[in-house]
Amino acid sequence: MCQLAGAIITTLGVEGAVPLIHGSQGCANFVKHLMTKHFKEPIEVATTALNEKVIASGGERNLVEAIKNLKERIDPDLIVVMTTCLTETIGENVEIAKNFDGVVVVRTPSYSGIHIDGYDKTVEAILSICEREEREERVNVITGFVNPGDVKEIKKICGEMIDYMLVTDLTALDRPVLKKRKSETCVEDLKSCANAIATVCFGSEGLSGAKLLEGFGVPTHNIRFPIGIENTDRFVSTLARIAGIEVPDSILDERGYALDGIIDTNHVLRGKRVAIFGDPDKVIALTEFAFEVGMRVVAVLSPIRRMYFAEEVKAIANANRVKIAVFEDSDLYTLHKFLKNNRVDVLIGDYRGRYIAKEEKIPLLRVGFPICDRFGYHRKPMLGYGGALRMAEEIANMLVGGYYG
Amino acid sequence: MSKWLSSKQHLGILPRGGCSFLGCRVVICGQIRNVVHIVHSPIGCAYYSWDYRADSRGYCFTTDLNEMDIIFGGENKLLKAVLKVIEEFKPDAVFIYETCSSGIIGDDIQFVAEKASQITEVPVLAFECAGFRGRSQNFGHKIANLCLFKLMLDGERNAIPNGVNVIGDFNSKDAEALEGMLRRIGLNVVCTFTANATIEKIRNMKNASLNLVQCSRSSEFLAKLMEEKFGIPYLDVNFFGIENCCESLRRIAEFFPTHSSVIEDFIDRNLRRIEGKLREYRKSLEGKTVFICHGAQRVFYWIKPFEELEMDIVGVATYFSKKDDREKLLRMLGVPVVDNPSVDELEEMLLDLKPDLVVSDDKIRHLVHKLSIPFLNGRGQGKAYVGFSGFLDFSKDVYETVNTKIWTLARRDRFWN
Repeated sequence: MCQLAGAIITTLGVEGAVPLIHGSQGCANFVKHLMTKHFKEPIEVATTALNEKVIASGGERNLVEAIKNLKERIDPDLIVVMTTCLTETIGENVEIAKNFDGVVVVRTPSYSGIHIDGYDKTVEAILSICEREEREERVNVITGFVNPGDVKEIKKICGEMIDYMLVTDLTALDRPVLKKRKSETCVEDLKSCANAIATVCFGSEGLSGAKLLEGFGVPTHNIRFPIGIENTDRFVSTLARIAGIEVPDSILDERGYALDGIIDTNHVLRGKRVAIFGDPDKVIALTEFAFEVGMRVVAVLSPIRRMYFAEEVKAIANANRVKIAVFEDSDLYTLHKFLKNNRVDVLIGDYRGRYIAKEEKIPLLRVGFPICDRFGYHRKPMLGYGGALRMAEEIANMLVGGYYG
Repeated sequence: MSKWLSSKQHLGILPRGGCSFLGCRVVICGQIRNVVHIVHSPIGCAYYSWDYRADSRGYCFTTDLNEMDIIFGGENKLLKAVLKVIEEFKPDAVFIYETCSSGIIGDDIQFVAEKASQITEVPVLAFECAGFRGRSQNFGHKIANLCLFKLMLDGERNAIPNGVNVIGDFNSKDAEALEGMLRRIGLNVVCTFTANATIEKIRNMKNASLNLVQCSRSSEFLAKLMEEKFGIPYLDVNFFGIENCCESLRRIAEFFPTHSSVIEDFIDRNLRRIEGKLREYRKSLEGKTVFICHGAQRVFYWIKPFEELEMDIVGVATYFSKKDDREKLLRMLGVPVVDNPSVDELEEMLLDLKPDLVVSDDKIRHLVHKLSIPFLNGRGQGKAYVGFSGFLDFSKDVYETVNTKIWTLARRDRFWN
């Protein structure tokens, strides 16, 4: 996906924030369509609808008019202006948008990076409105590009231990009938992020935002995604250390339930060969999870090259005394060709793996974004103890039931 | 009532349509079988357009342009990709699409396409459909139609007796149903454009003696081109709803007089077949209210079918319709007509009108669901709604949707008294 997807999802997690795409209207439509299919929610994205005629004389007028229109009709607390391939290439002056109150600009052309870069940049951009006041006993949690189900797991853990603020609250993308979108994070809250005692962020997603907060004297705790038992333990103990408390019994119980369930699936999962594809940081954490439950990871694929990706996967492979094929900056077709010669029992990734799954008759565990061909997967967690339990059980059920696709 | 008759196109708010790349790549070309699509773009455009529709076919690749390519041009990369794809997949044709980024830096995809097809002798079509071209996705339809039309120019025209084309059907199930129906009345369907079409079928389109145009907005252009070039006349048809279906079939009968008795026979037989079932549905649906949200063209088509189910249309929302169309609708129906509403407007309107059913496409599905109003996708999604059996299926879906208990449970809330 392009950077816009990450930028939009971040924006939608802020109460009263509106994403405005400065580019062709297709950019807005495509991303909106994908998100609607995944979240099964009405999602609104504004656009400046540029076309040839406008481009010739520059799209500034459209941008200004669009912002004015938005202010008049919706009156949002925050407008996040996103650039596209088109506007970046022709060198639009988007800085003029900053002349308006409550507007931030994030530069997201598709040719430099993917959705997680868009996420990262947007977190940084919206945190740039922070203002330092008095220190508050609170921790900022940057959740990364995850699903509402995952955020609920994070909330569950944090809620037991410490006062927290989500940047940004993606549970707004899963709301009950007859209710307006409601995010727990509003623009005022974002401003006070600089007052927190620490920031927790996962992998590289949101790291730039955390670094920005360091400038306000908020230390960063950068850990792996809390996927699997050990990674979640690390998250929990980090929070406990920040809060200066013991890990509460309720969370230990939660951990106990998850472990109990995972142990019960052991005789099905152990020794199963698995291939994992997706965003680099999540793939690393998922690889650790797979080894935890006794599976053997054969191949991992990341759509983009990251310095640390191959290294970290190799370290995990060495620790488990196996070899893992690492594909970086490559596509599912490459993975498919590899799997034809290297049989696996389980595939983990988003729904685009379903073609491979169907053709090779391999069960596909659907995790992450997007999952458009099933219902309710945005609600199923991958993070936390609950996520580990759900994934182990779901894989075991697919294997026991002989289900694939 | 007049307060709804707004027509201002609001910049910055709510795009309903896509760009011309979407119109070209997804709507028209996405349905053609055994071709490989190469999107000359960074990852975004290719990722979103692959799988946009559930019934789209074929592998989709991208040249994955990065910053360096944007500066130095990506033609070489594209040529390499085309040659590699042809070697690996041996497709009937390769389609190359221009996007905003490759369009603005001026990559000559036409040249690459010519070169690649010279080397490999596989047809390579270049679609110059960058998203900024034209005002909406309609322009993309036009580009695609024009480009595919060029395929027909190869070879001689050998008229096929009773040959017809169906133009402007992009739903593969609809196309199948339509083809079956036309076969049964003794016509040869040369090509359904573009659902289920192949390159070979498109080439043969010039051999038909009549074009049946389904979606006039996107395809009348192609029909006119074919009329000019090959002298093939075209008919606007609409097979949705009993009366529309009968009328369209009779107009075809006028064109093929030798088939008129077969066609009349076919109509009679089918009317008798579905009559009983339809009466049942009608009894349950009588007096229920419906709200339609679609392109103006479709709304016109749907007035009669809902009359046939004895349901009342209580409101209409259109996307980018002309003022004349809206005024005509208002005159015909005497109900609120709004163009390109924002989410808030639509929500207010729906809560005001409290319809028993909303018919639209998936764009507003989840908004309507949130308001606990029964919703039906008018495009059929994996089902055929055209023809006599199709209308029976449609009536059944309306009946089942409206009568699901979950809606009443969801409405037990303070918003609905």
